[in-house]
Amino acid sequence: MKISFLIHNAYGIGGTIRTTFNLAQGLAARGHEVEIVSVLRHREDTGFELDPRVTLRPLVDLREEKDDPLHQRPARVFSVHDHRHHQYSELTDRRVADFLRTTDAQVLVGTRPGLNVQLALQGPHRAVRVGQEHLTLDTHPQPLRLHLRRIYPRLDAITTVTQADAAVYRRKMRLPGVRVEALPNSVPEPSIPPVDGTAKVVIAAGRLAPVKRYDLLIRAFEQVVAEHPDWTLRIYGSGGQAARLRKVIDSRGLYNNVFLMGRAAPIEAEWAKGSISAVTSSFEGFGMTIVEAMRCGLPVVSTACPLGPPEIIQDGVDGRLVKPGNTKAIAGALLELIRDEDLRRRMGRAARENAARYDPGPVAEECERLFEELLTAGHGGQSLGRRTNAALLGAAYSVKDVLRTAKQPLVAMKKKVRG
Amino acid sequence: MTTDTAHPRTTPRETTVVDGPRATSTVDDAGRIVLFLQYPDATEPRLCLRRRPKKGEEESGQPIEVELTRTDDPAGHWRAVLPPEPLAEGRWDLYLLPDPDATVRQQIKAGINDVRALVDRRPARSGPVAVRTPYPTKTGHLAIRAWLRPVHAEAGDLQVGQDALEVRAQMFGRSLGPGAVAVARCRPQRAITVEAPVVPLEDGRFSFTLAYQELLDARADITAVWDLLVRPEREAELVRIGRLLDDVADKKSVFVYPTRQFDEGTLRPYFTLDNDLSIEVGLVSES
Repeated sequence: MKISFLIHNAYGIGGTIRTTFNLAQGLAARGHEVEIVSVLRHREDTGFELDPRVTLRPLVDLREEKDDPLHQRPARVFSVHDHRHHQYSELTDRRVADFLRTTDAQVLVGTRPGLNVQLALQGPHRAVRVGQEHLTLDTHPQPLRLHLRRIYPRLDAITTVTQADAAVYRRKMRLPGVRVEALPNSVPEPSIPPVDGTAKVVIAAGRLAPVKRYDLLIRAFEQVVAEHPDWTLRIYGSGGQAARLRKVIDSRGLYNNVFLMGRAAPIEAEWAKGSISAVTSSFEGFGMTIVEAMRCGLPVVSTACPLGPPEIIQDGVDGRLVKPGNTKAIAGALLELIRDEDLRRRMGRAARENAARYDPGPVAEECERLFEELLTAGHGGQSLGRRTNAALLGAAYSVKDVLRTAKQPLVAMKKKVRG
Repeated sequence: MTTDTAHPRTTPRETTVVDGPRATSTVDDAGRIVLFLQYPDATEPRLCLRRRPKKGEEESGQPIEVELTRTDDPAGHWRAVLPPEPLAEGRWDLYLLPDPDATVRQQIKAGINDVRALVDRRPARSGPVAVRTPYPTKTGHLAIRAWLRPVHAEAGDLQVGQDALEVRAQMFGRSLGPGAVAVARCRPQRAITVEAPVVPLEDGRFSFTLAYQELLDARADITAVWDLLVRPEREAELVRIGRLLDDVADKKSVFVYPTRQFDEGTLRPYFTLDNDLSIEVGLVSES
């Protein structure tokens, strides 16, 4: 089948881009005609390597069209509540609309809320239209949630990256006739050999952001150092928390054991230097680094935070899940693996085996099955009754949600007056 | 290393440099550096290593050329094993000359750089320390940092105390003898030094403690940099203390130590751009 992915900017280096490239590659490998349509382009080459079997088509080239008058006018179809709205314009609206009008793809896949909205509103009914959510419903701001609630019933399917998020969609959004399925991010097999479990290094990787709770990890590592002073912790990534984390390291005298490594891309070669990985987040929409580390043969000690980690790690088998926010629990799980090299190796092997389910192969297979079922169910062939229903239901919600939206400024105003 | 004597070739020097193919690099357990290059079209490619000239200086010295052999390995079309000989201290850039008459030298981009074997590198304590660390540059190219020191003192853990800095280090290339002493040497006024007795430990390891007050008292200016060295024995040459034996090519931003504040200034140990250990005495920061 012919499949088109609609993506914000394929030339950047974010998680959505990487996972879309992986999935596109997996589908192309299964013989499908796959195209990635990048709304924006800002440079010659893509940041990640793209399989040559996958076609890449940019719609607006910012290097030439940045000053186009149409690009100065705000987008009206792309959701105004998507936080990237300021990067969209009448020009992007038009180019996406043209693409949707002329494409002969049988399956059209949006990869962010604003584009899913445009796909739902303007996508041709002859095609299956799938909205992918790489973030989670509960982390979307309220106005965006309300907007999506109104528009998403027009889609044929919504995919989330976790089962947990799919359940949230089913519970909080009435989506009759819309398939809601979890389709995890995929991580290809690393091109370098797995770790042997002997390095006395614990590795974490991610943005240095509050949600990652690296402060907890550093404090937990103080307990590790007290017992095993020859072990070190490397935290890869950059971000606003760097100075704060440095203070935590210094105030506890951990500067001989805990290191802020800065950004590293590709990260594969860095996982290879450790024998345990740690994730202490209070929230993970998916948990891409967990899968990456596991594929390199590292057991991951992670908080059992929503949404991804509990779906990826089998506690005690291929890693550890511990209570979020609990330094002692994190330290305990790390120490258990540090004290016992056999356990470490055993869990590392299990991690590698179990993470193979995230290979682009099986994930693309799952995706293919979903698309085929949607095609045969006649979603793309247009079941008029369902669509009318969806539109009516959307309209009913919209009345309710308009009222809800209308209430908000009032509340805000009241607060202001009081404040 | 292969130089073809039948057809003497010289590496083009005054040529354009363009972005070349990507290479994955691996350091194996024996310390060999193995590269795989993706580049199907080359006919008789050579790899060329050039020591990067200091800012404002011309390129000098002979480049090192390495033969590439065709391979069926999925990692790349061409394979090179760098000669085991040590490289002179500095940063070495890697170029590809795709064919014998190449006039354009292509700078090689860095792919996956698997240097896990370097994380816990412990060379023999007897010989000179020759270090080669492949790393990706800021521009995404593959380069090698090299150090070659007949005698070396490897910095271990530091304890940045309230009044003094304790340094642990290990000797390579010679042992400590009678009269061994640690020396903090002022930069640029090299005549100004502060000495501290060393405490010998097992396996060539030693420690010493420098009182901050001595450094504050001895400096010529309000701000000063003190380079840390060790004199392994009375009358012996000074040996610079640095950290060379791991996988981290640039230590300065990774191994960071707390700053101590005083009425008249601040003090903080740090690794220099050459990965040597120094202490910076500065002004009290505005905050």
